[in-house]
Amino acid sequence: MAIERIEPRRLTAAVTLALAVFCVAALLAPLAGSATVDWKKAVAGEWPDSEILFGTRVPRVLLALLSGGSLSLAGVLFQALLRDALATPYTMGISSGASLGAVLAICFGIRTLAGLPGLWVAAFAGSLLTLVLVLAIAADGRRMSSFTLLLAGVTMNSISMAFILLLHNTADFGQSFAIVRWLMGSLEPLDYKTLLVLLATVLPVSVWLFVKARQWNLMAVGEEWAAARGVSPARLLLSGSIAGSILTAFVTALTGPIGFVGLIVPHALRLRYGADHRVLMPCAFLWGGTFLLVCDTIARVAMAPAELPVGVITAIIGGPWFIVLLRSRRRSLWV
Amino acid sequence: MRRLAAALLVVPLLGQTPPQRIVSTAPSITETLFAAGLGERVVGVTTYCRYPPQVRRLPKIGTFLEPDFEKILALRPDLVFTIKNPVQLTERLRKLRLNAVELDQDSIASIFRSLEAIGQAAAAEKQTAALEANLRQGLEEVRRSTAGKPKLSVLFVVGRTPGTLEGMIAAGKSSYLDELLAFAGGRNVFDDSPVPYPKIPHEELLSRDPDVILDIGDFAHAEGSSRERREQILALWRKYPKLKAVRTGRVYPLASDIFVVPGPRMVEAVREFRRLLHPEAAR
Repeated sequence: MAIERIEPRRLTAAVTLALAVFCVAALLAPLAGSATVDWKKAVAGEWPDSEILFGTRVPRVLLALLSGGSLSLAGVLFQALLRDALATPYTMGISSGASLGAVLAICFGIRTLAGLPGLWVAAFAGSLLTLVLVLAIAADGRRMSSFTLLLAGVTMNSISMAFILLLHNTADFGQSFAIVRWLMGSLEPLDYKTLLVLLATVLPVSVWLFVKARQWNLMAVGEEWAAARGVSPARLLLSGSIAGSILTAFVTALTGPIGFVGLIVPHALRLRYGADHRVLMPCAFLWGGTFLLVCDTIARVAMAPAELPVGVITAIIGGPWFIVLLRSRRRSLWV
Repeated sequence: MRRLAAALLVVPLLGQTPPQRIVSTAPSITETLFAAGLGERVVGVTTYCRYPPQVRRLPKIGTFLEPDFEKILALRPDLVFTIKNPVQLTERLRKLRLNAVELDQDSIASIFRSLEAIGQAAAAEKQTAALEANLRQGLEEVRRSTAGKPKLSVLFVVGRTPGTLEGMIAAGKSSYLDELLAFAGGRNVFDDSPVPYPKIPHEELLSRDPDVILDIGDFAHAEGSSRERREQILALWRKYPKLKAVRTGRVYPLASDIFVVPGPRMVEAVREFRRLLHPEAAR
């Protein structure tokens, strides 16, 4: 029942490949876009070419890499913690909590909070509040089981969605428009300061998750299994859910919910490399970032000058590709 | 001839009297009915209907996508106007044996067609014809006064994430606003967009660099706005100080539903555009 360990050489090869593709995609993506850019002028700092390249494309590429990576990594983590193949970063209710926060900000016209866009702050607060509630519901003294955690998350999801529908029903036309747009999720060129804050959160949390990979391996097999090997499942479950939720909450506050990345990238990697989290986690981050970046680049150029919601592309491209993978799978999808 | 058609349409359902209890299921219909002088006969409107002010006191029947059928029935209407919509409202109303007439009001031409349909259904063709003539004259006057002026390129922002410049939605080709702009001596910078209301990336905004930016993105719903709100919106745009419209002080935050309710106030909307684009042409 134990997870098949990956050989060190394969681990290195897998991570190197993922990192190489990640870097190449990051360098190539800013070259694509709906407007034509004169590269010489852009590098020389001439307007508007330079602003297009460094003010809109590069920040958006960075946001795609960081959010795709975070969502996909959080997906791997939650699938292991909850031992549910259908778990996503959103299963614990984080994104619906964020959405509820955002919808409240829209309906009450909160434009800025603490000097930041009100939507971001409200969405982030919404997801943290949801996390605390879910953990409180699932906690039973010092014990906590992934099953109650899963059910608590699903329930909070439904409750938040119900409130969103209620608010949407009472919203006026302009608000209703803003709500629907937010719920679709999208990547925007954020300023570098915000991206830096995102990086400063995502990077340490991700590294911590990579370091703990062996523990996630044990959790993925079963809580008794983990306990029998001297690991406290309750504590892992708690720290894991908090880490995964922070990743999800930060990203969702800035982009809105973007589906599919957190589901199919982890599973595609499981099909390719097996279930060892030492390879799954870094690869999930790198391939998740690359995947979302590719999807967003397509979303930017496919119908230029109009843009498509990136969630549409992740599902349209990711869905069929994943079905092909499933049909050709050699190994079990799970453990 | 039209009279006859109207009579044929109305007679079987109602006998000889023209409809006296009309329910409107969209703000644009409500505005049209009142502008045509049929306001007295309106007995129910949607929760979104706010113009003219007296409609606020009328019974509300919900929204046009989610109407309350019981309320509509309780108002005992002899005529219900609907807008072409995806929820089969007209069919559902007809199943309740209501006299429902579907209108299309998403372009200038269709607004004029809807006027004729309203005139026929409500046996009020004189009134709707007068309104039509009046509106056509208003549009024509604006068109003529801006005819010799240079065509300014205009970005019309109809939506964005409140408080930021993100998630920007513009008016695209063959949208209602695109048509209105043409009358006021403007050219929509996104008139090549494949969709009527495209979400536009910032790089398109920068590379097209419009002469004028009209922004109702923050509050398409709010009527009027404080100086403070305007200042906040202008501050957002200063993120791109080199944009022509920002540099030349031609970013205009707008707050009125005359721009988002396609109907008889289109002349008002067009005059407002002229005032902003070609102030010298406005008398």
